[in-house]
Amino acid sequence: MMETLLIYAVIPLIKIAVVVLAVLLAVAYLTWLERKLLGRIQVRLGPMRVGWHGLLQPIAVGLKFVIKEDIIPARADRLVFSLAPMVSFIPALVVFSVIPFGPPDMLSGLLRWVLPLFLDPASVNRVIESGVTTGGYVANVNIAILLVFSVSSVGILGIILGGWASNSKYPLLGALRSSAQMVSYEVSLGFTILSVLLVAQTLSLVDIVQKQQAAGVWYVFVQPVAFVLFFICGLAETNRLPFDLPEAESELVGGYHTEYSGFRFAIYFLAEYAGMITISSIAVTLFWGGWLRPFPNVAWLGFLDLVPSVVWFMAKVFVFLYIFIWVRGTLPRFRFDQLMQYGWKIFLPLAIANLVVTAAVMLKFS
Amino acid sequence: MDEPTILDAQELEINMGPQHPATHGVLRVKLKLDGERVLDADCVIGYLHRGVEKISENRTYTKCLPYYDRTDYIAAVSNALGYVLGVEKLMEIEVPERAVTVRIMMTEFNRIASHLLWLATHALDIGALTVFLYCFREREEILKLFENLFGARLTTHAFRIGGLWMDLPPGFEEAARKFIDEFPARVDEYEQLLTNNRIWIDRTKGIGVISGEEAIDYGLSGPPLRGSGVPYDLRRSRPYGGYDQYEFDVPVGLNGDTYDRYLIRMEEMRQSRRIIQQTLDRLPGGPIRGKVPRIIKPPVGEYYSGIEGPRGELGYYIVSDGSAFPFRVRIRPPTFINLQALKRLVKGHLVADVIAIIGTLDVVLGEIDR
Amino acid sequence: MSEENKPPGAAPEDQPEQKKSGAPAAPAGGGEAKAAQPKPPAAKKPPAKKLPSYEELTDDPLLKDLRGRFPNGIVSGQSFLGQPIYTTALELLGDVMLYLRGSEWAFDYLVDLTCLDYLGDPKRLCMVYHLYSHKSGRLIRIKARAAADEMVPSMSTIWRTADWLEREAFDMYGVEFSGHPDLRRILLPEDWVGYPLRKDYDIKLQDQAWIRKHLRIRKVPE
Repeated sequence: MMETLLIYAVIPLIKIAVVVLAVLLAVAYLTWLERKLLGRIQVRLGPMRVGWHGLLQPIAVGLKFVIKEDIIPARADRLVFSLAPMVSFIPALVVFSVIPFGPPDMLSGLLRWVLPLFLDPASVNRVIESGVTTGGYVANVNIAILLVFSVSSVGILGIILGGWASNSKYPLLGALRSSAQMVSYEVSLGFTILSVLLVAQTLSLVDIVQKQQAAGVWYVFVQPVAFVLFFICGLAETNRLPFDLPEAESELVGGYHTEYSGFRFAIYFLAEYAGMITISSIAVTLFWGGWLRPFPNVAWLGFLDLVPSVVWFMAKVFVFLYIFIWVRGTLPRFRFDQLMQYGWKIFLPLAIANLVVTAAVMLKFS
Repeated sequence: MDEPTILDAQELEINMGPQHPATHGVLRVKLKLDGERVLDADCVIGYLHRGVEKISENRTYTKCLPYYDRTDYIAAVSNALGYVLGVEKLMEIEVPERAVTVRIMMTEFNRIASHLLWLATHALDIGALTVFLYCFREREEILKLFENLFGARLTTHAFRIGGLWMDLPPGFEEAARKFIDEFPARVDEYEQLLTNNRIWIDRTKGIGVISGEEAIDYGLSGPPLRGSGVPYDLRRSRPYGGYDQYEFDVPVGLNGDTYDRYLIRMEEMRQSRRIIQQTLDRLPGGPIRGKVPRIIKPPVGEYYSGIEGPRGELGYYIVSDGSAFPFRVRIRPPTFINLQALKRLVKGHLVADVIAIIGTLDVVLGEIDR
Repeated sequence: MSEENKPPGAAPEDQPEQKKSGAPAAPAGGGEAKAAQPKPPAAKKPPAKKLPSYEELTDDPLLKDLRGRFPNGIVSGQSFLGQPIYTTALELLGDVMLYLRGSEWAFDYLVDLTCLDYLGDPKRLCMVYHLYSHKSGRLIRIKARAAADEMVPSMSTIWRTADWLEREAFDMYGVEFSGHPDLRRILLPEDWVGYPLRKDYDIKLQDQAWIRKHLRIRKVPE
């Protein structure tokens, strides 16, 4: 009884708590990182006042959001208006339930050390060998990638609902833009992922990483085109420059969140940055070998294993986040119709072509 | 008053401004949209109207001057130049050579500063965040020079009737030289970020196209006119204040679109630098102020003093009735007239282009509303 | 000096001129009254300096051409500090302008359009147009006098520039333009009463009713 409870409730709950907290913290410090890096790019310092080099700035900003007045426009649809940010934010968190931060046996050492405090050795073994508890992820679902996609599509709804419920023109335009943009880029994104799935022949993210380990090569070297497309579409999916049209502040004031203030705005904000981390994590998992160290099969580089796998994962994610910010500091913004043209006329055909070529090659060599 | 149903709502009318991040002040544009396509645009201006022209009629000729800093506050030095040149003409005051040279130098510095601010905000509107801060870095250097010489950064009250207020402070020339030595590399840096950037070209090429003939019809001046291929630069066409002695090129565009206007302003910054170089090389000694009567009382008459401000033809039409107060000072505001073409330029474009076009017209609401 | 001779000399030419010189006309007439006064103080210092004054245009080809074409239209041609000024009769202003733009003179660029207010004159308003020709590089000034209630022909069909400039003149001086497509206030609020740049509009004057209504200020200081 105790074991079952541990295996299926306590340990997953603890994992969920850790992941949620870690993601929230990461999001908070991602905003700090962005401000610092943009500062660097733009020959200024970025936040410097709150804490050492502004390290406490995200907390101050968070507090500010919480204590700010929460304004709901008089003619807004109150219920939808209040729910919309949540609709956007929760899917962004849910996605992390299937993202593998480490290998399936990542936690076995830890559990072996902690569990004997409560359990007898036999049950400890049973708990550890149950196969659900030790993974460096909340759950290893065999349709993980589909889950990621379906759930993150729900996030778009939050934006549309928020823009619609504001009952205001700029948010409406922003919402319409983002629905069009995200739907069209999701198509290309799906096709790029399909070509990876063809190579990996599994839908589970954990298995995809393990396949990369077995093959001895990260899929970015197998599917470079797919990766580039994935990254560009990822920029569009997360509403980042150069695709930040839904909230292009110089055109649409604030886009879909123009009417939002205080905590509700903060939740949109968190959702957007969580989205960046999600896309980066998926990119790392699908293309850059997830938690694997560089050259996972080269034996003499074994000392690299001294670095925990989860650190490798985070380091790779960081690189992507850095690129996200770097792009923001460099490029201007597309216009809406151009964005759609690129999406449907360039990225989608490329993604489909890549898929077809992959399929043909696979067929030939299998 | 029946609410239009969703099916009827073909046209969406939105207010861009007066509080909007990209209307550069309190410009309000009423846009009629079909989806995101602009069907019609109507500018509502006047939010900043302070009646500068009326105030001028109630001040002496000397006391008018600071008010003009506050019309086009980005180009306060040019504003001062236009007015003092006009009054000096009416009074037939001889301005010593040193003052003339310093005036040109400072006006060109102001042109660079103004173009930098334009580039910064224009790029920001189109989403290039970084250019904004790069431009402000250089503009800061110019403002420091202003502060050194005029004692103020923005509303400089730069020149006096008959010459200058003060001579160049020690170290000014070196600082100016240092700036112009570094500046070309900086302009290259901006261009590196934008000129060949695919997105920038997509966003600006073919946007807000206006032919030379039509531009003249609309009375455009400055870069918007030259962008359409009309080589109308008052420094060349009707030289004033000693500009005829300087070498510089007047860049003109081919297509009359936002991209050309961008290129022209970039080139103008380089040309202004060239003029500053020449002023520094020839800077003569001598007095900085001509013989000016204690009370400025021009004879009965009128004079139109037009100069090439950073935004176009800035004119002061000064009418004197022989008293110590101007009978009328009419400011020919370049951006007021340029803004008039906005309606024509944005028709058929998308909302995002409206921003680019407002940016390319380089409006300053302080001057439009006066 | 020449200007003092001018109005009588130019007066017999046509009808509108007659009216004008009857009352102290502004550019020339205003000069008549005061021209002598500012001279002594300024003339004292530089003895050889001649103060600028209005000079009759003598052999100006444009003036000749205009006189030939519009015998009743051109009231006078003067220059001040080298800037030529042509005064036309209000009735023919539109025709003269159309000719200036369309003919080989090609004044295709309306630099500025504004108004002057000579309070106390029956024709108190003086429209001032600055025209520039990109072809010849000439800058000229056209003037026309109008009474406060007279309609002034709109130039907005000749130069698009005139659209807003005329709205501004209407806003500030209350000049009514005939044929303007959209004549409403531009800088002031639409329901403002009064024309601020008129000389009888005191600098401290404001539309108290408007302020009370829109700014909700109950006690408006005088």
